[in-house]
Amino acid sequence: MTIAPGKHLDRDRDAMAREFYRRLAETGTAATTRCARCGTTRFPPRSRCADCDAPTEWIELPRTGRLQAFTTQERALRYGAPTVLVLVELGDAVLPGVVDGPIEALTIGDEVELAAERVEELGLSLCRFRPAARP
Amino acid sequence: MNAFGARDRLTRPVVVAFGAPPVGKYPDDTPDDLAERALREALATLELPLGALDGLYLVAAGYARTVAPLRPQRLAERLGVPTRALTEIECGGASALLAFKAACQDVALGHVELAAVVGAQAERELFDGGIDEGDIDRILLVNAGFGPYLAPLGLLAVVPVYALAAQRYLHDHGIEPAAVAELAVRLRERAARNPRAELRDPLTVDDVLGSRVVCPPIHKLEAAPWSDGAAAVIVCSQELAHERGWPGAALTGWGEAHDDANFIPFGRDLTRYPWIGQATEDALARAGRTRDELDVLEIYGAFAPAELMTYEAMDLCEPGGAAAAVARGELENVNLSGGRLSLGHPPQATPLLEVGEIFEQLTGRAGERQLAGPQAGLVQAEHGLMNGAAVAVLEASG
Repeated sequence: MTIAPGKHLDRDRDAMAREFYRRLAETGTAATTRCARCGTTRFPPRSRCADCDAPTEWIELPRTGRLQAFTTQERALRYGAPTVLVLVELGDAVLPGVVDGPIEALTIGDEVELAAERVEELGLSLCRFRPAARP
Repeated sequence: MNAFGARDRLTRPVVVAFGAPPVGKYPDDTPDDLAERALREALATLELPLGALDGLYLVAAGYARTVAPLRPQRLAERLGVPTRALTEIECGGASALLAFKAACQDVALGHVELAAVVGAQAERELFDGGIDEGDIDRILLVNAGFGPYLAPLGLLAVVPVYALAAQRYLHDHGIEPAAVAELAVRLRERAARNPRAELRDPLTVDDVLGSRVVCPPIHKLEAAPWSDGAAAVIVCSQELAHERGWPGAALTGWGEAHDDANFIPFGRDLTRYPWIGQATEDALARAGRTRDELDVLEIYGAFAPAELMTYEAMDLCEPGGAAAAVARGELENVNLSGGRLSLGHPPQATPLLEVGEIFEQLTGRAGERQLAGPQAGLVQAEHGLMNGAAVAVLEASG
């Protein structure tokens, strides 16, 4: 499909999401927030901790993590099959992203490495992962 | 004890009528056409005109329709019904059950005498014939619903989200694909006895496993069809139902729980859905009932693996044990309608189809599916990736 959407998402993207994507684009690292008081890390990032109402601080997540789950999308605006949709455990957070297929080559728990990918039609970098070099 | 608190001045809401055209394909109808048909069918069973209603509780007209604001008033105008309560509720797949709650609350408070809850959806053609650029507004709307972290990955359907959870579920518990397919086969057997069901031809496990893999590990026949359909439920006070001699299904327990996450509960166990468990516990506690006392249940289950995880979240069986329980022939009183997989699934109407199934069972109107004298039933609905849930306990009344 040739539809190239992206701008439709801009008006609903909150300040925290904009900061997440700014950091990903500029540093190639995914980040989220941690409560400055209770130390709880959550994704998505939020400006204040819902439990203790303390301000949060941004923390960078590790660039390697493990596959929590993966599948492919039959119908999608982008990243349809054979690209693989993944949830990746990065430190104390789980983030969504994509990894190159084929899906048959992947196993839950596989180590993967973040390689942020610029998507021009969105004006964003997204979380693309690649299998980490095996020891 | 009232479903909404122990206050004597509240009255108990009772479902006294149900109407729904067969679930399926209605390419020439709008959601409001189907809503009107369901509503007239429900009122006809009470031999009442539309004008007898004094409360109208609607569900958003679908997911991919771009609908102008103030649809409730346009529908009221079309029907010619002035009311003392008029609203439209939207919270994903749970919407219709939450609209039902709103109606029950108004009836319980005595604000409304005869409330109609109506959900309808007719947008199948958008997904049936592929997607073209003429649909771009609607496509972008569906995509945007996935929020700032999933929408950019191109999502247009909930299937991949459920597939992520299903993959992890099969992996963690070592469940064989055939064991999941068995649920689809059994639901189809039940649907054969339901004239409202969209899919009634017999299925085998081989048929299910031979169907297209939509999003691994979910096969097409393990996914509910994106159906057109509508359902209407009429709610009044127990006093009015007794006075008119209307048998019904009284709301005796309600529970709901919602995670903060949109679609994917990031960082949580993808095989456990404590929100469903919490909603179930609360509903049963408020009804003063135990699971063993439930004679019949309707569970949302939009995908076979999700339905199995829902059984477990509701503590109907042990974690990882649902497929084996189904294979042993247990849980035969769940989704007698055929469930979402075979009854069909117009999400904005689905929870009312579930309420209707329980109403028909509790009032002896379930035809070939009828159980012997059921007294208590349960309805469960969800939104997101099962990380928001609502549960109602209904009991035979009058």
